[in-house]
Amino acid sequence: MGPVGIVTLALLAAGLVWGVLVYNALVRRRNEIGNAFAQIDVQLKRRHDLVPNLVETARGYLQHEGQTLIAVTQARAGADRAATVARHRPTEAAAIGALAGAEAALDGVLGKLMVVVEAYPALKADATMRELSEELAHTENRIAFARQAFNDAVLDYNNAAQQAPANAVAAVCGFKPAAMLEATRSEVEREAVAVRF
Amino acid sequence: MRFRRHQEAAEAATTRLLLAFAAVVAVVVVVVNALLWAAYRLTLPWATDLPRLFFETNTALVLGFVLGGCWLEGLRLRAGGAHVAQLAGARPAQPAGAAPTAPLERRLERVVQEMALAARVRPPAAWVIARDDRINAFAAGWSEDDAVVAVTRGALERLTRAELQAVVAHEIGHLVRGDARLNMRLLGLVWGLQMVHGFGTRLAEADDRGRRHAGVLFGLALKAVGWVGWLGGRLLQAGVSRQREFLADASAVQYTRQVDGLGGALRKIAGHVPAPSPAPPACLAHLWLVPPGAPAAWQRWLATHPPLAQRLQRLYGSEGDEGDALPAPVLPPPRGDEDAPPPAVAALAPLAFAGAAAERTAPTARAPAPRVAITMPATAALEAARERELTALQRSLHWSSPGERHAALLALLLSGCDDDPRWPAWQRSTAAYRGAAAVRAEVLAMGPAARWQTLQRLATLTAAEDDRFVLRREALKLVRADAAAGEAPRLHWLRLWWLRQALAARPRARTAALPLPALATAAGAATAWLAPLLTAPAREVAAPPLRRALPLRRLHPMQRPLLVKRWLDLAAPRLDDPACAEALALACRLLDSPEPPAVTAALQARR
Repeated sequence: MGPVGIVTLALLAAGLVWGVLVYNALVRRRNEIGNAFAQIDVQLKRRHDLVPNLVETARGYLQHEGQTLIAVTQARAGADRAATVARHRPTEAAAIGALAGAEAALDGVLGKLMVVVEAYPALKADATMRELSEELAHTENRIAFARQAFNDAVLDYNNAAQQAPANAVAAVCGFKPAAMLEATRSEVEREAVAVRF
Repeated sequence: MRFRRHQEAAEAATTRLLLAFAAVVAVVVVVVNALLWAAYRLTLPWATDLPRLFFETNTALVLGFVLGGCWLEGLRLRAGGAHVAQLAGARPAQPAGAAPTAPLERRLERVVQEMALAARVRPPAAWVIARDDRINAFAAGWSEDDAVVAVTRGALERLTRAELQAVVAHEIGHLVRGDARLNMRLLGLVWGLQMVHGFGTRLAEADDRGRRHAGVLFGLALKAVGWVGWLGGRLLQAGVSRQREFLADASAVQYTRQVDGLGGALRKIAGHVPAPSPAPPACLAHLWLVPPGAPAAWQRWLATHPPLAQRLQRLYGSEGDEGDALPAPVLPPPRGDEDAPPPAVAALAPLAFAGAAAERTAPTARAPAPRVAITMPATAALEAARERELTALQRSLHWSSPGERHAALLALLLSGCDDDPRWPAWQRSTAAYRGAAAVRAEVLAMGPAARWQTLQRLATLTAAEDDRFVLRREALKLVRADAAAGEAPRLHWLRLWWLRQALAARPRARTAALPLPALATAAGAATAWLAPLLTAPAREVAAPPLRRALPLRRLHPMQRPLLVKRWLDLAAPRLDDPACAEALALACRLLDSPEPPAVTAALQARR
């Protein structure tokens, strides 16, 4: 075949190689998102595991606050379920949204529980309670940074998948944009703002 | 700081410098080939043809030198992160245990875990350089498995949690980008270039019999080329190292999402004069946060780190005075709950910071920590008390007339253990001054730390006045009256003795030290008297009345620090109690012995 044919073939080959490289890069970034989500999952699970201990320790002192404890247990169960669902579909916006909602609810009721604990100095001074709340605080730190890392991973993936010319490969191979975790505000803050005015 | 933009700029600059490096190596190869060709032509002018594979062999030889040097250098420090860290004098962090730095090392471990999460890598091992008072840190390791981040003791003690976090984030940034590997490879290449220079030197020098052969000229030329190549290589390697530092700074901002962490740390480094510490080996200079030695001005182009001023300017932009140096005192040890992380991160996990944020203010963060609403009763009372205390402190600054000072000092003398509004003896004593009740109200509104400061200040003011003798007598009368009624706690006695000593007529005369047998008795008596106050301040009942003060001043000066240490050991579990801390501080002053730092920290701590 003539020189034109050879050049065309070479261009096609180059285009194919480029496509494969871009596809690999997108796959790598998507897996990063999955990994980052797994990290959040580990820390969330740690928090979910701490909550029953907290409830049991507090139950002895808080006989009249049964409602709060029940609410905490229920919120924890809800968050656990949402986390299991989202574990299998980390790039789906709906699953992440549901998880964010469930975690926000758990945050809210745990916040209320902490307020109640403040009013019972005997409970607050209990050694186990102190250790548990310290552990909870550090888990919250880690959750915050894990979420930040997840958002960074999502940003990298979205940048790679939506910029031209890679978005052509993304559209052909079915890479959809991923959703970030938005900042949450606890129920306590929202309620308090309403009450003030 | 637009960290992504800075990161992209630093990566682009690194690529340019690496290309320049490759160009330097290529130029050296070409010039060596040219020199050899010229040498060949000159020494063998009758040859018409170059030998086979002439240029290929030359190129292979030169590249062999350069790359071989790189490989050898890499072998030398390939022993892993732990080995390099040990060379620098570090040891693994010990978060458990009773050492005074254990809470700091626990904090370091937690910070390393958090930053590893933010960087999406496995957490490196946390090591500590225990004997170093400088504020510095470094990262070592070739892969995720043997990565180590080491932090000096000065950094642990003098940086806040946010600043420590930023320093660790900077080092993890280095690890994530493989800067250690890159620097090692470049150093190896530079060493390889130096081998060309060395080869030229060997050719040019005389051999054993003092004769030089015709290769001398060629040797000199090779030496020159090698030297230029080596210098170019070193300049480029230093340039790459500086760019990687900028990149790591931007990564630190990315992981912590705030500028004040790293900015505060760098500013404290600028303002800190460390105690002398052993210098780390120079071969590891490029791995540190800031270079351990101070580079000379002419070495700017060879510096592995950019100047601090330039780094601060990149962090803060070119706004006015935020790049100024900060003092770096040793901070009090961390308690259970820590400062809140920056608001951008805290918003992602609001629970942990709901209670803690209302009680603390992070001094170096620019935005306030997220506040929970005032409707919560515990924090509301705390806020109000804090406001009241500040007002009281401000008003106390204006007390300068004799009546005010007397009323205040006597109120401070009697305050604390029992804030009974009666104080009949005090009222009789200050009956002449009409504003006394207001002064007492202010004193009672202050917390223990504020009262201690005001007591010191007023005592210093009064020590220069002539009316201090009246005050001494009045103070003695008051405490004796309380003792007669059976209500004078030990703390009041301590304060009284200290006040009388501070307001004495003339400097204390040196008293003869007690003979040895009496020493043990005196020390034992003092400890026995102080013990109830130090070990159970809350349950302190009135002290048995004493005719004279304890003979503390007659203890030998060498005994006093030992006695203070014994008291500190006794009081260690109770140091949180302000009465205990104040008693220890007063006792140290009565002994004329320096105050232990734990006591100073406890006195300054807020309730």
